[in-house]
Amino acid sequence: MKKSQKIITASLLIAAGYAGVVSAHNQTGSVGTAASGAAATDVYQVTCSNDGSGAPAQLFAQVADLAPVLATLVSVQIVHPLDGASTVLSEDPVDGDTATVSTTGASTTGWSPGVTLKGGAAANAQIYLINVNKQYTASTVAAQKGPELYNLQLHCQTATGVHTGTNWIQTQNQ
Amino acid sequence: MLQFMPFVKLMHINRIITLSQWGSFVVLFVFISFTYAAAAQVPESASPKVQTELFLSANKGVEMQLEVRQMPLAKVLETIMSKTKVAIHYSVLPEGLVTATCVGSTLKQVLECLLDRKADLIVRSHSNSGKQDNTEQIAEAWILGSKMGGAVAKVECPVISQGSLTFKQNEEDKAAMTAQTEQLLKAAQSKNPAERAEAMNSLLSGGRKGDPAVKAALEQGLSDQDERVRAQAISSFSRREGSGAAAALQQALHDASVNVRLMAVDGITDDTALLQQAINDSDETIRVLAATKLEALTQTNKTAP
Repeated sequence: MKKSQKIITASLLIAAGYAGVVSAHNQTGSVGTAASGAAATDVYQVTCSNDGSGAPAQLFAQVADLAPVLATLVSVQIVHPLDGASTVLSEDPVDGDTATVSTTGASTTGWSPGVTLKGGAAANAQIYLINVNKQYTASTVAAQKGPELYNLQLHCQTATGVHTGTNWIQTQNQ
Repeated sequence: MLQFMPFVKLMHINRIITLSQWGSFVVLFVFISFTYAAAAQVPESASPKVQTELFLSANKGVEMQLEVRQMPLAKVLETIMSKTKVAIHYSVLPEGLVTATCVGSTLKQVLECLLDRKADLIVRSHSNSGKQDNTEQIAEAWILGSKMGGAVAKVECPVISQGSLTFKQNEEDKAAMTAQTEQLLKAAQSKNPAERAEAMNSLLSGGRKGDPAVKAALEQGLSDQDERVRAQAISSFSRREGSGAAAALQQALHDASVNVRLMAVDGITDDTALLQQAINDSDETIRVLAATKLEALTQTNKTAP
């Protein structure tokens, strides 16, 4: 592991000590401010564990872009900090539509398409980063200013998709 | 399940404690990835570079840090005995090669992590165990009843702590973290408000845990003249301080800046009183966020046992 990677990893892991571990699997938040344009990203560090349901193998995530409606949209991406692997940016195409309660991997309205990233079996492999982005759209800058509210849903899963222990903390809030 | 758990006997005080009980202590400190691969299936010539490192540090909770890569357990125990001068007795050990990262405040915790419930552990404490030196907390240890006799193809038992995670941080990492924190603290005093705001944001995860200088810098940022700085400061401060940030959140909810109030609501995790207060904010986005969080909390409370 490169020195820079080790430092980043150490920073992220030390950060885990600061925040209480959240036990639910939805995270509501805001990304961006009244002054900011499209460039804003919230980052979460997710740790998957075996809570008795089986060994974790992958992380599932999707995001709902909540009202108020802006020209920007919200997207989610899972990144694996150890090897840099990542999912595609998954964008909720409609801002502010009602997001029905989603279950793991289920296709529901109001959400971005679900994305899944496998972590592997190596040590530290079940630690992931989730980026929630305020996504640029081809619109006027003024229309893109303001905070976006979102609901992030995340589930650690076994290789067969069974939900397993999921803990996370926020490491960047923009 | 519990009746099948192996027992740990603390001989000195004549107590019998299940490993599952010990696990509840250890799990706060320990990140384990533990792999036994059958030695018979790994030819000597094909074995990867063997490695065992045991670090002793003065940092509370992480005093003992063990890093093992593809080593026979006997060799690992030899290294531990050599470094700690604690006698560890055993007859039959689980076969195969061990890969493990174990961090804990005592040798007993590290051994439990290393064995990963595949053998029973008995320890004898010093009679004058008021001594807090980690290597002195136990006088002797016995490993009994290996549950992995014979060749086992491969068993993987990743166990990740439910609470704070700790990785081995060698001196190089610590030095880098120190330098990073100092750099951020310096940036927090910049004349450029954008730099100060960025520093406040980065201190969330880039500042040393428990460092009073980091806390002081964030507290200073809470009353910065620039709203961007105050917004990032309350965001990082609330997440680092947890329930200790209630007063700061309360104050931030009355800030003239919408951005600061929004970040404050964003930083509230389970304080319904603060969310109730924010639900009457003059800004629609803040009201919606507060209402959404309240609803989520209500749902969580409904489903909680």
